[in-house]
Amino acid sequence: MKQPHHSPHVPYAAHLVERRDLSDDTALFRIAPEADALAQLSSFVPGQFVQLSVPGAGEIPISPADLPAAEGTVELCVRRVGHVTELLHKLEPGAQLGLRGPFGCGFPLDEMAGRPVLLLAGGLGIAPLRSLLMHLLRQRERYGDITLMYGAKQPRLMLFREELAALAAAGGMRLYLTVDFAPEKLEGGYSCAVGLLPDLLKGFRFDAASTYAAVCGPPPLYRCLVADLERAGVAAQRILLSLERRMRCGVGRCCHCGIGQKLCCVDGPVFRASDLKGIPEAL
Amino acid sequence: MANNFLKTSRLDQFLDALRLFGELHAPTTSESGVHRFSLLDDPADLNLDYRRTQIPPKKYLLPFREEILHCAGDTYREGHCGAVDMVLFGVHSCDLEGIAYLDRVFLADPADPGYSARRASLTLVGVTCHPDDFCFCPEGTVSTACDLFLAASGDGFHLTSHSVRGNAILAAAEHLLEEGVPLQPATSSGLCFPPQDPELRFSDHPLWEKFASTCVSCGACSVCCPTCYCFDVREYPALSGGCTRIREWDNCLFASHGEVAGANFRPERLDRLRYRFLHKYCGFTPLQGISSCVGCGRCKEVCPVDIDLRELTVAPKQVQP
Amino acid sequence: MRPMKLAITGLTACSGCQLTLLNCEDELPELLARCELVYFPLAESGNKLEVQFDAAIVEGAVSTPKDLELLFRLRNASKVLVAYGTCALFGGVAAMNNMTCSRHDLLQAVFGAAEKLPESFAPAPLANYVSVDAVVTGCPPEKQEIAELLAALAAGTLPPPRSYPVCTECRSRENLCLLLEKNELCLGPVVQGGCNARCPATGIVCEGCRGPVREANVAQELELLLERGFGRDEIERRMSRFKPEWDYGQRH
Repeated sequence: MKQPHHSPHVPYAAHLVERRDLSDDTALFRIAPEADALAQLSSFVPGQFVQLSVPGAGEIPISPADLPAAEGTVELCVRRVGHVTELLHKLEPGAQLGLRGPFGCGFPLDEMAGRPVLLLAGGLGIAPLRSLLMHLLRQRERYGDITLMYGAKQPRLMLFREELAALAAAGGMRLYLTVDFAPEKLEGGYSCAVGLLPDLLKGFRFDAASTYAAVCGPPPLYRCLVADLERAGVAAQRILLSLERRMRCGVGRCCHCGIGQKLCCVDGPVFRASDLKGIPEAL
Repeated sequence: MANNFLKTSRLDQFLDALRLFGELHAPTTSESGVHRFSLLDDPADLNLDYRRTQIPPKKYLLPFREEILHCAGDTYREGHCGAVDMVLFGVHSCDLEGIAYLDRVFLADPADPGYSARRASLTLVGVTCHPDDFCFCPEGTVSTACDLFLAASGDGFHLTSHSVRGNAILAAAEHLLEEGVPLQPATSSGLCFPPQDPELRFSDHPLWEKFASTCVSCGACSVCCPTCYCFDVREYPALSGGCTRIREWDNCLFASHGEVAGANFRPERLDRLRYRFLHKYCGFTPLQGISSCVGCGRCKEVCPVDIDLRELTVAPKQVQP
Repeated sequence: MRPMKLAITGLTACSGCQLTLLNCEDELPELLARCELVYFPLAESGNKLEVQFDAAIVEGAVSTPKDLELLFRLRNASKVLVAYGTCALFGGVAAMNNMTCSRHDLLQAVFGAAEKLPESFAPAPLANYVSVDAVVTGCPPEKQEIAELLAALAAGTLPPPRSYPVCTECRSRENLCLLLEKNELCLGPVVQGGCNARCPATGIVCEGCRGPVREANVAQELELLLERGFGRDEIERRMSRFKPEWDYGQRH
């Protein structure tokens, strides 16, 4: 079917189907875009991003937290941090939204096939990595060992904890959770360490020579983890970082998302650590 | 051989011929003495002796502020691009090259709808210029990135067409032209300022610190630059219920330029000057390795604190403390 | 949709900001459709304060015990408190002599050697006393900016901020640069834009009525003006007209 001409500015119509609170300030929004938008999303590669419009407030780049579902919805995990996300968090199911994308380059899945994959997520960084994880698990036989290490500030800020525990229990992956500190008693069955994500990595034995690492988290985490992973023997080309920038356009024009001479919206948001060497402002 | 020489005495009639191709805009001088491109009603207002206009012709293609989307009943629709047939007369080579650069950014796939519509209805007529102390283009550079170029010579202009539309203008103005001595082939669009090594942005040149402390982040350098196109996008609801999304020229020297929620990737002015240097002289994807400086001299002329980023590419002389 | 309940009022001020709102003739019918103006003493009678407001839009500086009392009441009764106009944001014209004269001297200059002077203190921005959720700057603010704020409040959001100085819009309008070309005492580089360079467009320098832009390079502006032959006193007097305190060493 021929795709009708569509302006790169104009968001496709979408509406909010369901919202599930994950923590005090973060929720998972299930969104149903119109058919043309879904057709575009069928090419979605984990790590790519979409531009979500909240009418009246504006547009924000978000990396979907899962692959588009068969019933035609997309899941976006969004923290309330600015005026667009504030308004999104006030919306009721049925509310109109807008969606453009997907944009950018996602994880190099073909290259990762047959290899062990180590996912390292800090805080809200679990969102983009969750779509990668879902892809890996759905095509489980295509990849080697799958390990997810996920660190949050404290237990109540840990997102998707029960769901991740269930996935681990099903046997498809190994899961290591950690919190920076634990003011309250840890509830739930799955064990959770107290400490930082790099501490988890330190005690981890893995096949560094063939593993692909996928990292997403707050800026300071990257610097630390990239050094640790390299020290452990993971080559910089196999360390994949999903970076955050405030893309306004998504198509390489507004120039807010420059990282060295690359643009996060077209060359990223997933970069290889080897491509970011010598670009201090990247991380 | 076709006639291609226009005597200055017939310029007014030539301008009338140009009006056949659209609304005629040309360099004029405002009441307060500012050179600018504006609608030319009266040929007497034409000021072809200008050095540079305050704002380059990019304002016709990428307006300072543009309503790109309207949302009513929760559905977003493209804003009106406002394209009308227009002839821009009297553009200098540097500005023509500036438009050629913007074309590479905004006409690349997926083409920007507003820009493409306006560009398609814009006819460009270039003219020879006389560089002054602020210009940094190689002398005698003649751009071919236009429909028609008027090279000043003696008591008139040699006309060279560079497009089908240029040919059409020559045909429409044939009765005004006479035979002229053929011009030497024009110097091809020369590089005004060669691409720079990206590593230079981390040099220990003392001017980096000096510029970082004196730059007032007024935005003039990029507002007036023919190839600066960074834009911000903001959305404003209307009391009636809908909303409007605008895009507006932005500047990489503003604190907000590299911000995300909770972090700023270019927190210091020095970081932002480096970003500017990198974008201007080294290029971003997909124009890596291409310098976007066309040598018009505007940034140097309008900077209140005399910052000239090009000085960072030459060995430090004696830097004033 | 439930109309939002608004309080619109002024403290120590000239009411110019509130009048600007009343002058938005084109928007008023829409505004009245979307809002219930519960408390707006300047515009109507029968005002009630004993309710919960969706938003309170407050003009003026705080300089009397009565100002403070009203401000606290509105803060406690409102989901969103808007500092409306330069006085509410920076102290404004009423505060211009805060740094140079004592309050007592100023009161005596106005009221003479009366036995009992009115109770008042140095005019200060709202944020010195209460938390402020949104701001609209300007003396008076631009109609467009107050319309944007009201529309955003009605939509459950706030308008996105502009973060460029007056120079950006001024250059874009192809005005003559009064600072560089006419050697005048223009504050454009350090003052918050959004006014579309209203004054320089008519040949009047920017006097800074919208307060400092983010990351104003105040030290460099001062140097620039000193180099151009203006005296330090003259510069400081001009700069403090709408905001009494500036950090003259600030570069970032």
